[in-house]
Amino acid sequence: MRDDLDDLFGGLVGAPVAERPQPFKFLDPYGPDDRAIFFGRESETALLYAQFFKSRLTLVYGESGTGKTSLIDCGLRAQIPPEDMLFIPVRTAFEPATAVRQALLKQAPLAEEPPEDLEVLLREVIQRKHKTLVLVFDQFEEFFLFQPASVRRDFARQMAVWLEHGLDLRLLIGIRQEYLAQLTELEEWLPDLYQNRLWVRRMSREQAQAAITGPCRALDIAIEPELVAELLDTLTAGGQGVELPILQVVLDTLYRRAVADDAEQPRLTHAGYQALGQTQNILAQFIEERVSAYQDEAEPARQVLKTLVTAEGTRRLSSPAEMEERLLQFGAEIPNERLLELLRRLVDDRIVREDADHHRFELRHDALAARIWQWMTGIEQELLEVRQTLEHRLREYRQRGRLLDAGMLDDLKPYESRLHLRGELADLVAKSKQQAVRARRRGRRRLIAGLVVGWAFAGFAFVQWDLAEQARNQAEYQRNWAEQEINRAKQEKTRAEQSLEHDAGNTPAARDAIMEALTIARDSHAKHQDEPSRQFLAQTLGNLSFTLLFNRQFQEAIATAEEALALNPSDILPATNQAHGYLLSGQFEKAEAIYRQHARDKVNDQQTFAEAVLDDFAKLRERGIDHPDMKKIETLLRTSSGQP
Amino acid sequence: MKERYIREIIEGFPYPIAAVFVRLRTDECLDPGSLRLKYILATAEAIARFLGVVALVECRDYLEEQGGPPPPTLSVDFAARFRRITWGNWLHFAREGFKWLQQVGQPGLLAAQLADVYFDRPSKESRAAQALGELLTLRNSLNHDKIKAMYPHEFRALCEDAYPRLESVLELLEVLLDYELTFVSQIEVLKRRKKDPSYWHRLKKIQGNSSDFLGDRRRLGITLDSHAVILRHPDHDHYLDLDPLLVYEDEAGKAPDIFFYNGLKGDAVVEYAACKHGGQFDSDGCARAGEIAEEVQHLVQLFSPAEENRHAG
Repeated sequence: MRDDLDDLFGGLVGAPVAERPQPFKFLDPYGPDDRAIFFGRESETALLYAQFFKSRLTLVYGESGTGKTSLIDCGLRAQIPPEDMLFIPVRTAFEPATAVRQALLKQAPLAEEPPEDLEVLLREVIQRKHKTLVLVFDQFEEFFLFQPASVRRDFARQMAVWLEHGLDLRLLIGIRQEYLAQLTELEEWLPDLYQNRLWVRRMSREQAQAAITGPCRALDIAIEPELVAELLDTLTAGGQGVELPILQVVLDTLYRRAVADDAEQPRLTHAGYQALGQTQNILAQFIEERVSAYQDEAEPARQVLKTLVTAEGTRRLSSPAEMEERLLQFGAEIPNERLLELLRRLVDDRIVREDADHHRFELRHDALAARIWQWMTGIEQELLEVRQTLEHRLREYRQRGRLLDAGMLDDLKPYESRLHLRGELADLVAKSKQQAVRARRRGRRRLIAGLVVGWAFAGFAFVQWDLAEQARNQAEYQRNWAEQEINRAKQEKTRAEQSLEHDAGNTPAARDAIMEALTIARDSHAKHQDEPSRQFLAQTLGNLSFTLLFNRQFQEAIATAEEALALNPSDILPATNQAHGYLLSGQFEKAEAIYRQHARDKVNDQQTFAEAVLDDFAKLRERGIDHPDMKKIETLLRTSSGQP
Repeated sequence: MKERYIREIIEGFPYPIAAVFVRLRTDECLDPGSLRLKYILATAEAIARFLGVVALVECRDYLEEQGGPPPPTLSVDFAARFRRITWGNWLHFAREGFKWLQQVGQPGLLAAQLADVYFDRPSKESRAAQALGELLTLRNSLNHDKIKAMYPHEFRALCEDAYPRLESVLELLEVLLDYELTFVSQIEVLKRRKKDPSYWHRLKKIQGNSSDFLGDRRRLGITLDSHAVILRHPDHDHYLDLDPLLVYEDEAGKAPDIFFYNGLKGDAVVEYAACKHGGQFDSDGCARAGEIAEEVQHLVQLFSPAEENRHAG
């Protein structure tokens, strides 16, 4: 049977077991070599194993501290022979495609220049290794914490392509459950994202018991049942399940003390547990105790630890250079050498872990990050958030070349001096400001240009309007003025007519009144050159010619009448005066021609030309002005008009 | 063996063989040590098992079609061999099955070609068959205590001896590249008014080393058996249903995988073992328990009628 071969070679293959294995992991996750001490997660391991082979994309989610990483790194990996699959852990705190590339080349270095295309590289590694490749994106919340949307979209698209193209590849995502909903944005490219998932919950009492007693049994370490019972009572008191980081720290502390007491036969005792004090606060106590022991360096160490926490209270991987810069915002300036020394000490004290490949540091567990986050003042937390947002935008800038917008720069203003920005971040802000200034200038220029155009247009319109208004006002004024003048002239004319009527001998008074009216009419016409002024002038001239007849100035009367007719040929009244002038001055033919021309016309609605001539003849005769040819004309007009 | 052919084996051989063979190409198995030796033997065992399965189902189909008794070489001790199956028993079924089919002139689907692989001429085993036998002998010479006491150079020597034999078997099995091993996961019937029904098969391809078993949807001129692992030539209508000796199971084992028949518990419970990562399961724990029991009992009755009659009597 097949198992025969596994049994036959069983003791010979596999990783060598460490000589003096530690039973507990403190704040470190269990790894593939910890299978012998990994207890309490048997059912989840079996579930994850089955899920893992059902789809090429598996999602593992749960609260921080539930042991997702251990479940993947130890539970799952220990079930799969290394000759079957190559697990590549990838942290997405860094640009994810680059992180995948670096992780691949670390695990499967190529002798020649690696291909540029990541998919080609993946294919090459798979072919070269002859194994299924498993990309493990643990702590995938970093993808959302540190990568801008554009990077996230691009990477999700890439992952979808890898799966579509049938690479012998599996993707395993571990994420804190608070960020589970955010994964939805990747569904567009990875529609089966939620199909194959495993929820890792806090350990139950039974599971925790296995996690406590299993390693002790496996490594032959004595543990008092009273200790197990009380520890479980304490850790499950809230009814929310067991917080593994606390369990691990307590057990590891007890174990170390037990080894200190008796290295050959360590024994975890109830008394030792009682001496520890408050279990629930053990993490806070642990970190406080460790850092306080630094004495003069305690405060700088606290500031260093603050730089390893995100605005969300989770841990973050950071290089010493990044930490050095962030320290300034907490008011601490620590030179590189001293910082490295502090970090080494924090690593030795198991508070910080080093990623030696990238020379980056991070807190050993998110549980510590939550404690350190509580050390921060409100302004420090705000500064952290602003810096993180800036770092986010810097990645976007690298990816898309998009600078900070004016809103972001405004938000940044109150914090900028305290952030002590350097390097790329400072450059980004400076460039963004320059762009904002340019944009403002451009905006101002545009505004000015707009205003100029607007003003020009408005000015033009205004000028036109003003001109029109002026013209209208002027016309109005002129009209009013003209009306007044006409009224005055009419008054003068009336006065002249009255003078003529009531004082026939006083024609010069009438003539002066008419002359006054004529002066006004001429001025008005010269000024306005319009129809009313023209008509008025013509009418006044007509009146003057009539008056001149009564003053026996027949030639002047003829000339004035002709002037009036030239101004307004449609008014035939001046023509009567013209004809009268010719008749009275002995130029009968000319007079007769005019009388005949208009014999049948009307001078206005009430009076015909003949009636007006006969009326004028009567008035002239009343003033003693008569001519023998007048009768001929009277006969002519009566004949022509049919009057009796 | 040429690199190109090795790649063809890894990508195109039936999964039960390719999935084991590919491990010999990994960094962990390149050095001629214990792990390499383990997978050389495991690949040889997978080949023996696959050939045994094909031989038995070819014989089953022939017996069902033609009637008559099975050859004594198969029927003698069949139930005992079948109940407690071993590498040696698989090789026995393969050798005797192909030999009988060759004798009765039944070409079957693969029988004629595999008989040629197995025999140079009637009753004279080929180099491949001999190599498989030698690898079995090597495996039987090892036991846990002996292995624990072996030095690295001894493993090296065994690997250097065993691998060429494995190569010689694989080289002669090139014919397997012409066949598709698939799992019929679903059959849909489409029937329009006044038209003949058409059958759409959802097939999971189980070729090559990958355990992804990518799906495919095809309309075929024939109707395949539901939930069966089948071996077929893309150009022929005839196919071999390998059930219940090779099954696909996605729930009963540790993980979805192809499982091979690994012995009987009682009369009706079959023990299955995964080709790669699915672990083991007993057929009474899976949804097809009844069908499997029926098929297995039918096989036993078919190949050992006298023995069954004896039980009945």
